[in-house]
Amino acid sequence: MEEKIKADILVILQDAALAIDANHIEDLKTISDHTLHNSATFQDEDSISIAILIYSIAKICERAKKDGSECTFPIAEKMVIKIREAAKYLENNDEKKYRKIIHELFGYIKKYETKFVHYATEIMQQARIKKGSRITEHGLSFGIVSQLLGISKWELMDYLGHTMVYDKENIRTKTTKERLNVAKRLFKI
Amino acid sequence: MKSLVFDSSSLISLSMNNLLWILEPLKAKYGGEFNIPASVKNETVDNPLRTKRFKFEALQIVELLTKNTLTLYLNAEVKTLSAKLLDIANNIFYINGHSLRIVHDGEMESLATVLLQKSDALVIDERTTRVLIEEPEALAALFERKFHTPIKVDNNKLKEFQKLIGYVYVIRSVEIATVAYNAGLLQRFANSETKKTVKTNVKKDLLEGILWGLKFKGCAVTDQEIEEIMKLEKV
Repeated sequence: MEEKIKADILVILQDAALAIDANHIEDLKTISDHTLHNSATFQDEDSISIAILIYSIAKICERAKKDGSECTFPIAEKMVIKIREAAKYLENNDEKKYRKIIHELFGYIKKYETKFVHYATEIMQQARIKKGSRITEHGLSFGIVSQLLGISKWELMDYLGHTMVYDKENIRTKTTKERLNVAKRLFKI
Repeated sequence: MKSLVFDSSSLISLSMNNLLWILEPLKAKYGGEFNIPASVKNETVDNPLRTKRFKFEALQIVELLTKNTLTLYLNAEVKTLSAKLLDIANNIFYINGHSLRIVHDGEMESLATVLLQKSDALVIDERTTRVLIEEPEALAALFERKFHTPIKVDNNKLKEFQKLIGYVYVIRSVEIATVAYNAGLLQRFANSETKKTVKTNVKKDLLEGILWGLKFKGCAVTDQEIEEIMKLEKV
């Protein structure tokens, strides 16, 4: 794992543990964005999976809170312990054990989904789409982002269309008239 | 035979707006082939057929293939050329010494098909490929803004890419839909009966509704461009 990636993941893990401890669940989503640049630049599994993981934890806690479910605290406590464990392994450069813990954390989320979630879109899938749309904003193509996040272009486009990403970054390579005229000429309009 | 090549992104936007049917009459009007490479079929048919959510949309694209509205373009050269394009395109931009992988083989297969067939245009709703074809410098500027880091451009690779592709016309689903509107294909949604039922400017609502629908399903078009199309169409 590159040093830059490792350093950023450590910051995420530490910040996430603090946010859960303090019950500042809303901060988790922002924290999960911390590896976006790395995810887009290095396109590595570690940067991507940590972003998906922390965002999924945020959604679980958020939904549990909204539903008034009692599962929030035991889950959060369990996760904080594991998050700190993962950080410790990463600090000690034991990437194999770090990845094993991350895998276990994903396992918790899967268990939670099976037990409590009755929504059409699964939490982790939603996290993938959300992170995918943020990486698309960085200028990577639909194809690259779909492959990196393990989502379909259909899901990505369906979500992305509602984000107004193209209005925020208005890149004009041709005027509207020029492009429309090309189409009209082709179809003899 | 003259042709247009459709990337998966444009077919997806049209499909999610129930507009795939316009392709058949538009193809007749165009008088050429509407081609897709194998990767586009994978992304729009084979993959969604394995899911629950977009299965029906995939079947509608299958129908277009069986009716020959869309033609699957199979040619071994597509793979070779798209691999070359992919290799060059993904080594043009560098961030902190790392080459930035920006496009995928599906997008480059569509472009390769355009080049091999000398097609009239590429129909693609995806932004990165379009900007890479038309104005790669704008892409470098976008990366700098988003990554907050200077981007190094390998000008040799860029020139190699540009030399290889030459001049490629690019249109999107919004232009395809506007052409369909102009050709009267959508007239039934704004006929006299509709006008009796709703008191608004139905023709304006129709075009605006279609363009925004495509935007909401991922077509890379800005609200400003939609406004401009509306003005150009004088509705």
